[in-house]
Amino acid sequence: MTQMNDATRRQIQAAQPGVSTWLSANAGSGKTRVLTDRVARLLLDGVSPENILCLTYTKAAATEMQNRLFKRLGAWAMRDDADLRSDLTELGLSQSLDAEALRHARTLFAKAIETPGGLKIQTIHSFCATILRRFPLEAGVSPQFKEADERSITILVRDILEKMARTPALDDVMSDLARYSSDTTIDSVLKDILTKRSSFHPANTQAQVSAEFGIEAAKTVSDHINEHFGDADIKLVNDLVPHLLKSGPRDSDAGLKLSGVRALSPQTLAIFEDVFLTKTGKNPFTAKIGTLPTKALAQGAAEPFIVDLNDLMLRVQDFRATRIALINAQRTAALHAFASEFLPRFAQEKQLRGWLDFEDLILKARDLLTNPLVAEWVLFRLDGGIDHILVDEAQDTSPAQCGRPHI
Amino acid sequence: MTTQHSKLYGVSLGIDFPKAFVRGLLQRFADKDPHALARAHVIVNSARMMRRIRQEFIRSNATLHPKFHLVTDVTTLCGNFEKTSPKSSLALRLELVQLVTRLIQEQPDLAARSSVYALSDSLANLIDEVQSEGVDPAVIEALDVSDQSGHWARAKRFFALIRTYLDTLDTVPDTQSFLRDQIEFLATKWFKNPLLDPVFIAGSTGSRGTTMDLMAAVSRLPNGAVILPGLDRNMTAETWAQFSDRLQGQDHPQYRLAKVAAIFGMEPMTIPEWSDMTPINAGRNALLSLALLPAPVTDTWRKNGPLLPDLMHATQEITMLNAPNKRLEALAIALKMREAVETGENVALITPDRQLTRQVTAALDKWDILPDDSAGMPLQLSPPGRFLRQVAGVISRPMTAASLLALLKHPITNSGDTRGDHLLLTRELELYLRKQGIPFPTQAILEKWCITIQHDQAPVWAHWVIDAILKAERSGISDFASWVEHHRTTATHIAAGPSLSDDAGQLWQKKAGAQVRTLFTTMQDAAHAAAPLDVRDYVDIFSGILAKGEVRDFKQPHPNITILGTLEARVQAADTIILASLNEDTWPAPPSPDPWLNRKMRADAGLLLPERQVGLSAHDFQTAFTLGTQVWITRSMRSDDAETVPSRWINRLSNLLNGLDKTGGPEAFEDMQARGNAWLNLASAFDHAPSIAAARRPSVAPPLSARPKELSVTEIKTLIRDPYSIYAKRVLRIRSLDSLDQTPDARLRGIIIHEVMEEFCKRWDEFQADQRADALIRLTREKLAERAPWAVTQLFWQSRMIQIAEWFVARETERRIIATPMNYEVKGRLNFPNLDFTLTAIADRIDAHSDGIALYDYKTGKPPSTDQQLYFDKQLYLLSMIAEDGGFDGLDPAAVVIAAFIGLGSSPKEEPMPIAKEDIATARDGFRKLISAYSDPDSGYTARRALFKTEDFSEYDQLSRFGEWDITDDPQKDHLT
Repeated sequence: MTQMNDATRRQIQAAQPGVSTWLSANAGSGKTRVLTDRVARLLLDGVSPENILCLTYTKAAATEMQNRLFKRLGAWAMRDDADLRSDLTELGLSQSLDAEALRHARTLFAKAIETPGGLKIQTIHSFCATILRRFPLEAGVSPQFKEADERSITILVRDILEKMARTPALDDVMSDLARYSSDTTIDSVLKDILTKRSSFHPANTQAQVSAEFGIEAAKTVSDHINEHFGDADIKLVNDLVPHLLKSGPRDSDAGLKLSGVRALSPQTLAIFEDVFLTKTGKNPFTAKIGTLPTKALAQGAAEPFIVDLNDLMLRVQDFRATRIALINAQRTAALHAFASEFLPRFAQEKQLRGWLDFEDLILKARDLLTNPLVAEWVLFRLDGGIDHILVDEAQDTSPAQCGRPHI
Repeated sequence: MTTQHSKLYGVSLGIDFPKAFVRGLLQRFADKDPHALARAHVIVNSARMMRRIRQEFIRSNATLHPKFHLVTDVTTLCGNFEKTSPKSSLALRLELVQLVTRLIQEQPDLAARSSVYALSDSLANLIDEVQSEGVDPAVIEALDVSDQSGHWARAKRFFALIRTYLDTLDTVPDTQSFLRDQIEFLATKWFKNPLLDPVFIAGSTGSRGTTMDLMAAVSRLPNGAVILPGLDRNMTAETWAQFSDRLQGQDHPQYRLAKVAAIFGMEPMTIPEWSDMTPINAGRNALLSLALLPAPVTDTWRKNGPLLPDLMHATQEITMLNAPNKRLEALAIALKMREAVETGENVALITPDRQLTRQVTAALDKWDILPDDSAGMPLQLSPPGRFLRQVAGVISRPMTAASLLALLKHPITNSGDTRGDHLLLTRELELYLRKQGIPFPTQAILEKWCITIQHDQAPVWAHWVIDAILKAERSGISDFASWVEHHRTTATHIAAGPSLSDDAGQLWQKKAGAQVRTLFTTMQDAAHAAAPLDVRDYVDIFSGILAKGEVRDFKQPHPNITILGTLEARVQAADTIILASLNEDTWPAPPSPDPWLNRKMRADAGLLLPERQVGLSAHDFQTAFTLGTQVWITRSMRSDDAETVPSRWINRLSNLLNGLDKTGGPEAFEDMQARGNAWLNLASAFDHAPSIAAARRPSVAPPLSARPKELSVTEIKTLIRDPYSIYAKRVLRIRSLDSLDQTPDARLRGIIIHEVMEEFCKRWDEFQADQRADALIRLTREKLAERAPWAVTQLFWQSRMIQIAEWFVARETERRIIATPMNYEVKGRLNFPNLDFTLTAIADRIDAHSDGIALYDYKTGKPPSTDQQLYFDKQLYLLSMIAEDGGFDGLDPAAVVIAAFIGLGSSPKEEPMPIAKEDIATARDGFRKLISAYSDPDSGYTARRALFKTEDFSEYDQLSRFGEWDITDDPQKDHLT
């Protein structure tokens, strides 16, 4: 018996089929080999190839695994007794290896190769596609659905957007969309919405969004501003500006920026923040009390304004969080409003064409299998069911794909 | 008549079946009267087999030939079989669609409305099988299935449809049931009154239920016999015994033959050989037979492998080609074919991979060799096929400029006698559409264009385009016959052209044209069976039918180079047989997923198992592999981005050989690969191109007489940043063609914004002060609707304007305090006599100031910064120069008080001319220096001299061969004379 090192011993333990193992190992640590070994062990134990399913994330991993497995099983078919015995022992087989066991091992190559339906080593993506093709009625898809490629989806999305832009009932939703994105960023926005479509199912209403950001939905932006600021602040700033402009460079820069201020608005608040609050350093976004205006001016011509100015600066500092929350709430609400119109249209257009995209494959297969009654039916129709599922490369899991192996 | 010793015979693997069949037959009839042979019937499996057998008869001395039939058409044998002719398969599909639609309407939760056609297709395949295997649909519905989910009940609903459908066949059958009925009739007829003439079924393995029934009927005839092709004589009784279980072994190549033997009550081992011919290479037969053993028996590889005689001899004619990719695989195969043409040998390429065969054919085209491809060209790729697909687009979608021009340029469009004028006018229209940047041509646009053209045929032609093409789009629900009619008349009208003649130009000409004409007739005949539908569904159905068609070219192919599908493998031997694309999922192909039943259910119902297809494929492979004097097995090791898995048969063979180390297996295998590698090296060498030196960064110095004597102000920036572009545009006079599918880009946006600003400024006083921003927004919306016909673009560009409208109005108000807008889009020029140069310009806007003038230039993005204005963007300085010298139309020389860019991007701002850092006089000197520099005959126009970003795109990058050099390379002066 050969000496084994720790790593090999652990690999062998992981390959024991009696114990259900969720593999998480780094790339290149021999994961594919462990999985291949495990399949080999299952076959040696008498499991039928059609009851094993191996899922990988990439096509390359699937073919690599398949080729590796066939190479190994094929080698066994031609080994003589002594060599075969040592091969099997190396795999971790502890039971006695009599003539019958050896004979059985030698037939595995052909068995695996000729399984009715093939030994199932495939990508999760292609497994889902196969399931959906075999259970179209159950999954609610067309039996001859097409897997839509990226380019077709891009064109479809643009068409839908164009139609939505021509729909008068959607004017508000679309203007909001245009306000918060641009014609250069819209493609990636749409892509993100599609990838995260489950998050919009259902989409959040305006009320929910406001609640999430801790804002009272009933109040408008102006209401919020008017609660904290008033015309007196505008007057203060206008009176201060001439003095600032006459002073040194820091002061006159500030003065220039403030010179356009006429009325309270979100833009004005943004200017106040820009001028009155620090940007970096130990305490970012705090009021520049004592540093604005510069000492000479503060103790000189601007002296009567200082108390009110400091008060204003503090209020601006306090309001900043609210202002940002308001903006983000608006953007989020716009996003959800748009998504709630866009996604159903997208789904419908795909259905009319009988298209499924990548996400659909995963989500629909998952929906199919999470209902236990349906799952039982599925397993029955899958020729005797799947008793063993092995999944490769666990680190790139997306949550939807993660849910799948828990059949 | 000699009593035949057996009813069942076999022709071994490795023997040319047609040759052997004819030889054996003639030997048996040698001592008989020639009329005896003439009374015999030969039933074969395919038309190609029939042709080959006939050829062999012609080559022989037989004076009279037997009668030939196909297993799928026994009409002549039946004689007085009275039943109506079968319906077309299209009519049946359409009927099925109606049944399915009705079912879904009654129970909408059964399936989505949009799946109707796909469901019908799927159901039709099941029906086909049910009929061919003679299964009673009630059996399927009665299958023992435990299911809590309710889905089996659903499926049974659809199966009930099958029964309904089959009942309609009692009145008018489909092709399958018709054949069934014929064979039943024949069997009964022969039972009552056995045919005494010899009947032979040759070349079939009985893969369909109907064929098996025919074989059974023939077996009961006194002089009937079945001759099986591709029989494996190396199999042992033990192996044959594996096939008794219906659920095992269907993927083995010899399974079907075992089943036929069972019908005849014979052991496969005892099937006699039909003729005295022997296999090409018995060793090769034995090797493959052992490699393909079914699973339970493969442990005998170790025992029986070493017993294989002389592996070197068995494999010496086998070449194994593992190409790195499909392209090289195709190229190597083409090279072998090229060699065969030289040596006069014949080569047959057998593969299911049509993509590969297309690549091989394309490679052969280099040498003007046209292979004899049994598959022909897909009808949808023939000229009439493509034309009709385009016309289908015309009737179902609005035309874009690109699709209109593509159609106008099709050789069948307007292919009557006005073709010459047509081509000319198409070209004029194209240039117009490109120049105007029109994405959706309409009747109005066509009429407008017509006025600009001086050609007497233009009005007639334009109206033809409008009537025949632009007005052909339809929507809504109509019945099938109307759609077919509309499609046909539109196609005819487009093909005929504006002349009022009756014919349809070239549309129905040649083989392909005749076929599409028949297609329309078929659709018309079946129309009654279809329910009303919308245009999209019609186009889907039409495309589906068109896709099934094939047309054989009339060009004469090379007699020695053949491309066959796998089914035809048994038909002929060749000097070299190439079996290509031997990867899992190509050959064998994966069985299609079954949406209705699983394996056990199929077995219980008496239907075919999915792996049966693999078995048939395996037999084709086994037959071809043993039949070539030389045989090649090829595959590509990578496809797209991943490794491939070799075909299971190759895996088995490789494994067996490599494991026989004591009898020279690995060496034999290596030799096989070495032979393949030699060809791959040849293929790679073929690709090899000599290296060409990379181009150097150009700095072209044309003679003075060729250099531009006039440039616009905006071109000066290019002269500074990328002089090569000026050279290309002004010396070579090359301009890029405007794109056909105009997309909303920065240039278009710039044009629109300028027009908006001009109009807004002109109408400034019309609006109240507090309504000006709204007015600007409104104006923008109107202009966008006019000039940018994409709703999404309008949306986004409109949004941008909304964001800056207030700012602009505020700033404009302030601007008007000190100056009043005077002129817009003013042309100007300035001569420099010493330099023999003229500077031209168009100023966006000139305002009148108390002390002179104010110059403004709009930018749609970020305006040039101070530094950029000092070194590259001298636009404002140049405009000022012209203004100072009175060069602007209708304006006297004036002092320039203000010059500024107005940036209308997402962060709007103004950027004035940095007069404090450089005054106009200094700029003037600088300008003079620049122009003088280029007046030196030795100075070169350098490519990408000083572009802002390395990613910046220059229109002439391809011309300057940017990429072969980069901006770190020194420019290479190139004096031109």
